[in-house]
Amino acid sequence: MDVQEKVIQVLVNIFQVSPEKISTKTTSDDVEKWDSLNHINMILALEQELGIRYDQEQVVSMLSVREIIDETKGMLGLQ
Amino acid sequence: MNLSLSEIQQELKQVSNRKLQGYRIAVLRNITAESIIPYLQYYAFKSGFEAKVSIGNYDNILQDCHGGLGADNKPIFTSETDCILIFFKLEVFSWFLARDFLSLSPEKRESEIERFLDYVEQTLQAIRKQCSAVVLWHGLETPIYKSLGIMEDQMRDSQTSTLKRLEVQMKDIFSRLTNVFYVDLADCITQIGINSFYDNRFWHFGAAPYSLDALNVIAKEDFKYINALKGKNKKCLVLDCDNTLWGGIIDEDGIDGIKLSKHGLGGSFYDFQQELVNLHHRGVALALCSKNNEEDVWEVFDMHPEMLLKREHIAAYEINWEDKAGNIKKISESLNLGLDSFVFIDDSPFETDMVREILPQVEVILVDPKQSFDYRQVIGSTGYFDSLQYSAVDSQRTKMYQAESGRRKLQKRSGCIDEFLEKLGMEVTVKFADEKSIHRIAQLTQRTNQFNLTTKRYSDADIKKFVHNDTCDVLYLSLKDKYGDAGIVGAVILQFSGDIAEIDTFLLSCRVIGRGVENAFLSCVIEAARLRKVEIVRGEYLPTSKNQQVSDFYSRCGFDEKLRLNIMDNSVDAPAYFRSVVFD
Repeated sequence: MDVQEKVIQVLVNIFQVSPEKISTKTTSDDVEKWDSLNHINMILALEQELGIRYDQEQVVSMLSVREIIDETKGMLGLQ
Repeated sequence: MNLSLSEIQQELKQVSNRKLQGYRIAVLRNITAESIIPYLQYYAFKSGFEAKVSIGNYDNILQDCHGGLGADNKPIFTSETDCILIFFKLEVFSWFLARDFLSLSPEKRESEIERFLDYVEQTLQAIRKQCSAVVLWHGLETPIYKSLGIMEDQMRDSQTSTLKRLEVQMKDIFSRLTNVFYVDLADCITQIGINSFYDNRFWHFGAAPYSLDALNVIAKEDFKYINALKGKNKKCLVLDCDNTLWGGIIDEDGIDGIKLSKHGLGGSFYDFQQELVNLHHRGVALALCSKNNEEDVWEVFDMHPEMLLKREHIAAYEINWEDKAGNIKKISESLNLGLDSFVFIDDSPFETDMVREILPQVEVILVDPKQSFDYRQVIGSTGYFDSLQYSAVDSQRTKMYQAESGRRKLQKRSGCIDEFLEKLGMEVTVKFADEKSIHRIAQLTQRTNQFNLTTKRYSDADIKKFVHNDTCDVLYLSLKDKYGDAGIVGAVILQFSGDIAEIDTFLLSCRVIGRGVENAFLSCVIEAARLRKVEIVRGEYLPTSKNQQVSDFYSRCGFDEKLRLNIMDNSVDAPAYFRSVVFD
């Protein structure tokens, strides 16, 4: 499974939406349950799944699926 | 291994398909604690409940205890709530005690301690006025950095010793109240290490101090308490022998070849056996289920010099070549313990899979002999057998189980059941509860699931209240027979109002079910009711998944469809096969 699929799967689980609702264009404004609390849960779940640890900047700035995928790929050395 | 959040969310998808009993949890907190919800739901699910969690307002614990409303405008807890979790982080309440300790004058220090304890007391009093839910208070965390470093441990009035003192004072408050327990966060920290416990990234802008692993461990710890109070704790551990109790195979390696010693390669097994002996002392029934020649196994038990586990620790056994699922079922029948209170441990995936498949109620642990150094931890870390009661009776429990096993075997031999029961020479004594019996009676209400008409769980303090209440009688039953003294094995709580005696609780330990003891007990209960000059005895039956066998108990004894018996014209007789039934 590539990074994009994994990210989307985690978001689907955390925000309890169907997979069609999450695309690379999705931002936090489009998802009802993407509030500050679930944002923390999302970060922590991504870290558990991918074995990485985001820094303080990334934690507050990753508010869209595009950004999450880009930052994550960067962390994994895939860019 | 602890599951990740995603794995837990996958598991939780099954919850909605099952019709599970609801378990209402309220969380009061002065930190962000919402992320614990999936973990609470997961461990509830593992215990057969569907958790319904409501979260109190941020840093509003005391106000929430005085009728605070949650985000959905509903009360955060009500009299229906089963459990209240309190997260009360010292940093948030008293920066002085937690972080700025060195600048505190002795007077200020004492006044902060007083303010803290006062808050704890007021919170708990407010909760107790409204509901009897179990309260789990998450205790003080060890300071990450000691305020005086290594000097700290050399002093009497250091921050560390001040917080230890505070902890003791909190526990004093808890012990004066019913069903309030101290969950030691320092223990949770020890389990995963302080660096894994905190995630400082979310503390300053989210007030969320703990990592996901920490929340997982905390929820798991909470459910040790909940399971113990709900009677969900395990009571029997079924053990394989070869490569579980010792290294190697007795049939192949011989008594001199197996690995079992205090030091060296056999050390893991020696350590593991000590853990098993400790479980025996805690009242857990140990049973053997292995594919061996029986005499080979007993030869190790009797002759091996480093064998810590002895025959006397074993409550029941099935050592033969039949399938283990069938054998475990036999053990459960012979001990008269439900399969859902069983844990089975084996090194063979074939056996563990088979038991999982055929007996899904049994908790199954697969161990790997190549990692035998982990055996001790595997059994020590589960919390399966945790109970909130401990008494001298517990270490005697195996003797009672062995006697039960012997009784069952005799039962198979005697054709006629009454004749068999007569041969037992049973002597029943029923008495009013006194100080000495309160603890055991409370323990019975906690543990008993099968012969329990109402399954109401009571603490020592609850029973004490009943005993001192003039409108209540608490009776207990003890039983002796040719196999020995079973001790206190039954309890009844009667509440009187007008000319009616209500049976609030009627229970018998599962060890004595099937012998007509209940009829002997009921005959004494009716005598007790007559002493109070009431006319009607009314029973109550609250069905659970385990007490079906007593659903018609009162009607079998002549009670009408409203479960009432007019004792002016009716009575219940003790069966004739008892040697004696004494009520005093």
